[in-house]
Amino acid sequence: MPNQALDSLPGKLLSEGSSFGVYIYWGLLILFVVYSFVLIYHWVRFAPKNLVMLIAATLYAGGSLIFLAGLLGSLSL
Amino acid sequence: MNLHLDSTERIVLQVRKHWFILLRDLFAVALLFAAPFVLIAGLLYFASGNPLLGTIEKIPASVVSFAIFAWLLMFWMKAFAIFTDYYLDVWTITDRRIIAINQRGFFNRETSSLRMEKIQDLEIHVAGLIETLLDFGALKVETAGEDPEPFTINGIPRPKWVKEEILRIYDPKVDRQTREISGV
Repeated sequence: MPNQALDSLPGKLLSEGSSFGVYIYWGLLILFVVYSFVLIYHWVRFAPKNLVMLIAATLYAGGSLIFLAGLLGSLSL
Repeated sequence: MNLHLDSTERIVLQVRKHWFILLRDLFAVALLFAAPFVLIAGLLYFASGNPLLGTIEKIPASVVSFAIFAWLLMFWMKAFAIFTDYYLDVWTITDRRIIAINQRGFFNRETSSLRMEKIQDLEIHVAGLIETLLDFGALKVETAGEDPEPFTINGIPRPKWVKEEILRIYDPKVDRQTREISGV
């Protein structure tokens, strides 16, 4: 019996053997890298070097790594 | 922070907007961040026994998980953009002038400077229950120049104290200037 959910667009995008999921992943990764570059540029150039910024940068890096790992993990599910 | 101060210029005070402003701006992002979890919990709770749930359950776990992580990453990035916008907005009060840095988004940054001698009037506005309870508001600095727009910072914490600090620097400067003009 055909899987109706896999016939739907999101199902097709991420189904096994489809490269769309990988394309979306790479698209998100590129967006993330560019965005982070701009963010870090502003922090380095304009923000004071203090504990607040250190905590913010650590939080951002930590959270982003978790979400990126989650995305990558979803592709291999 | 790249402030080009004179060699003898001294920073007296640096002021950022009140933390409540950051919290308010992050609130919408936090709601959207939590939305997928609320949606899933709602579906599981309200649609149990409903044929709709059976259809939803057929969506592969990888699709749901991918969509959730992509969503979370987007709003995580947005939250830090809001934080950056908040944290880079700063007023620096030196013993000679007020330097206002206004960050609007990533590529729009205004830096304006006002010499103490140009100040004509300082006005504070604390409007509403939250502003009164948390002690923050707007500080307007009227200038003697041709610019009709007052120098304004919104959401400043302890505006009355900041106003007094500016006046503490401003008053001796104006007194000295007056004495110099009158030749005393």
